[in-house]
Amino acid sequence: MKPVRFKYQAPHTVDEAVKQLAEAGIDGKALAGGQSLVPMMNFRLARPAVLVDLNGVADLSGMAVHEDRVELGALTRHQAVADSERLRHALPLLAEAAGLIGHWGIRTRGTVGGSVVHADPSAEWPAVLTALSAELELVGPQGAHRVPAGEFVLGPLTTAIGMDEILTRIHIPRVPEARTAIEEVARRPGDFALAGAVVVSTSEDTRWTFFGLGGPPETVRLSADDARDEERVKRQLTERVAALDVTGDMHGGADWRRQVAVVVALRAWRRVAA
Amino acid sequence: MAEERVEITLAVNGHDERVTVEPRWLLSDVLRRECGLLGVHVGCEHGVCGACTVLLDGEPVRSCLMFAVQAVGHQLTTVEALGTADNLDPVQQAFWEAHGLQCGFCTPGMVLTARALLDRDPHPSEETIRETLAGNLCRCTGYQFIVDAVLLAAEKRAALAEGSA
Ligand code: FES
Ligand code: FES
Repeated sequence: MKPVRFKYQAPHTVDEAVKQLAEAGIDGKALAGGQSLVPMMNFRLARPAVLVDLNGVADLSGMAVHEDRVELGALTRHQAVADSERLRHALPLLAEAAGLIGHWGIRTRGTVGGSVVHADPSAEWPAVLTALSAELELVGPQGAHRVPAGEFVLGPLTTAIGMDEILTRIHIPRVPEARTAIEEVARRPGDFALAGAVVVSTSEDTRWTFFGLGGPPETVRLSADDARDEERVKRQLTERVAALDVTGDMHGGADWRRQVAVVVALRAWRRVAA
Repeated sequence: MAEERVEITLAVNGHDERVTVEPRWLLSDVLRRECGLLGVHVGCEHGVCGACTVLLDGEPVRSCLMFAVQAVGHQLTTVEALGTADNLDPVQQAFWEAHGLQCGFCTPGMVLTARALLDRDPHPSEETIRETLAGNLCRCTGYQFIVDAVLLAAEKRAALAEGSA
């Protein structure tokens, strides 16, 4: 249970990192917090010949709260998000979601950007960032461009990022009037979510973004009119969730997961509707 | 591929350790094999059990999910730094008194996580303790005595702080 040999690179700038990844091509892999990649390397499920460690790239850390948006460096640790008073105030959903991720000893290393790029179907960040209409800034040899979070995850462990690109910053608009909540069911606090839902509610509509269902985050939208009372919400959510592509596993089949998805969606909704 | 080795300095338990490592060596292995710190227990090597927990700049991390080369420039604390057999850390003393261990395999990780928790939150609720320790598996105790031990440790630390004030 030890990784195979690899060439270790520790760039200090984004440009250097991009260059090293481009040179390594298909044999290269970027290392962020390592809480998913290192287990995979220990099992030798991942055997990168070149490992580009992003932890020394200063430009990838830090967070900034602006009037209209929050900006997170891709290497911001989950625990830093959970602990930030400023963030808790500016965008409470971020801190709430961060606290649900893994265990303390995982959150202190795991990063927001790493989680998004890894794109585990049960991960909180892809759903949270989709729900908040965040944009992901990617940098590659051709320069920087932005991708909406909702278009970034293509499938389990598959995203729109290029082999020689890195995710540098995450831009999250602040919508002060939106009410938000996240709920999930896991076997223990910190375990992989068996189903989870993020809710964002404004005077116009209410949107639920689901995670833990086996694929990319899925969003269900109801108009404010349709999201008025619980009976109606429950009926419509049940119908819409029934139509989602859901994968079962040893912890529960697809239909069971759909039921749990509706339960967590309603729990989250009750909190924003109250 | 030729074996590549690098010389690094790790700041462990208050002093510098110079070690020669392959970049692929896990921090857990380097602490055990090169630094002789056998209190770093290795259970699963994929981040699930928490036995390998050490403190990195005062915060718990899984040393099996870091490469030793990544720990350069950080302060590492292992259970060896806490107390000695005749002079236990209050957390260790509390684990002893409350029977917070049986085989002891999970104990270094439990004790370090508990220490870090009490440094952050000197009077955690039982629920906070349970949630915090959920990342450390114990196959012996059933956890109740560990939770009791952390509650007792909080009392002991408060009493000590009072005594020295
Ligand atoms: S040995 Fe590191 S978490 Fe189990
Ligand atoms: S005391 Fe044996 S594993 Fe915890």
